[in-house]
Amino acid sequence: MPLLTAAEETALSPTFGHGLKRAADALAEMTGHDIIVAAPSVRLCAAAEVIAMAGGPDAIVVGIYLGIGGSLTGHALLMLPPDGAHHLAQILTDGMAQPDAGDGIADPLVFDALAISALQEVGNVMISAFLNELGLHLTEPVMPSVPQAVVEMAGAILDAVLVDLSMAGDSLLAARAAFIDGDDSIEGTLLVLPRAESLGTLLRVLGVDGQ
Amino acid sequence: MAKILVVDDAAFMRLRAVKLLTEAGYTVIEAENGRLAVEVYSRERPDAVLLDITMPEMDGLEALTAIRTIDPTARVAMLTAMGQQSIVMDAIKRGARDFVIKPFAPDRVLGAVGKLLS
Amino acid sequence: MTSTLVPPPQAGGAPLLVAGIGEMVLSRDPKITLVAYGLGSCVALAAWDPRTSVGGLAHFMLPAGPPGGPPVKFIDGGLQAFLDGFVRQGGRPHHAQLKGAGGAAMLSIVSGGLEIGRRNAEAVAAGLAALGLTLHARDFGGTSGRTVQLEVATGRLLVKSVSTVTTL
Repeated sequence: MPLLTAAEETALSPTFGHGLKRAADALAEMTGHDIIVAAPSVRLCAAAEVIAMAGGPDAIVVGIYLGIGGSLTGHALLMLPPDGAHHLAQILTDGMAQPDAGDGIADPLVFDALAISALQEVGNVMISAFLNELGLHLTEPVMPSVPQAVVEMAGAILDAVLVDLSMAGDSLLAARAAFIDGDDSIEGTLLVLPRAESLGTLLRVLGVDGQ
Repeated sequence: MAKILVVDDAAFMRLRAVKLLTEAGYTVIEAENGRLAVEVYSRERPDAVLLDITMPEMDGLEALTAIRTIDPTARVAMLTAMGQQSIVMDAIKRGARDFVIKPFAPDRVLGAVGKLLS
Repeated sequence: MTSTLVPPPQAGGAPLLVAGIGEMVLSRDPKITLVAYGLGSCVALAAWDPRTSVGGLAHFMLPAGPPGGPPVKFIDGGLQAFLDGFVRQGGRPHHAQLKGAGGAAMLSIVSGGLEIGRRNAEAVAAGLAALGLTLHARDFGGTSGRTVQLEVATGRLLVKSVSTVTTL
């Protein structure tokens, strides 16, 4: 049984698309750089495809996870390649985040507490911007959880999220875009995965009746 | 020398705010969640508070209510990425005097603090 | 059963059969390596019969659920489906090396997220016990993701995480 009709998927697309753009704007403000939104999409996918969007099941990424709660529930994940994440942390902390132990050789998978905090805040600000856009259509607020950053294989990070979502069926709605820092070529991926049952609220407000 | 309490769970954010405010001549104290914010407020009685919303243990809206209960004259501005209308209204109703949305320009924060203290 | 044959990552590397989430892969071909990538709360069960050199790998997602959908998404129905497939390939479950890996807890904020991995590991062990089978080796729990690789020729099981590689 399909999660959404074609009409519903189409109706949600601009709203989620605007949210992705707002997230890009927030990142641009934080970094002072131009941010390009690439390959934005809002559509139904299977779990395996969501994993592919994240870079593949064994791609090691810095994943910043936020839960979404309130009038819309679900999950959001910002994923950065480790070297890109280091670079972004350096930009944000004016070079204060120290990835290496002083011998000049940095383990690309090790981040100090300040870098992690900066990256978590990027996730917080970007997802909040996304939710603020959705919130324009909702009377009750939709809020992110506190962020959690992990350096892990993308498939492993997504497991708990996919488990939660796949209770409702095997296809999920995924809003996804790549964000490219034009000045530094840092590329990240933002995935927003709402829970099926909470989409009804948004669909009603957008004037599309659920079936 | 006015004393400002900065409340945010992100060490990164606290660092930036402390740097900005210290360079502007303020004394700055910090708390990393709502519960600690309330404790620090009642102990230190800062002249103004910059308060994040999304935090573990106790969020900023709850902390705002608790601080305003301890001190009905408490001067608090929210400093948060959450900008939805219903949340802004809620914060104002609970006694916040200003609402600054992240990402923020330094001038906006300094302006908000200036307004709180005036 | 679905499987994806992918070309070797470098010259001379073994061809891989990938068990994606909810999938199982089975082979008698000694050139093949069976892989399950990026296990977080998911659990992989590897079976290898040393006499017939039949290998199987199942990538389970949840302890229980309704039928339909990916064949080994749920352990309650999927475990039997996997063992049946293993038998059809010529493997003998009661003479096979059975090894389990996965079931980690990575994201504390996802509700129930810390529990699923543990429940999956328990479900695999309990499901096997109900069939008179036991795990000969296990690498469950923790907070790290795992990729597991089973060499059909030798039965060697490699468990790789971000920072380590071990043989189980």
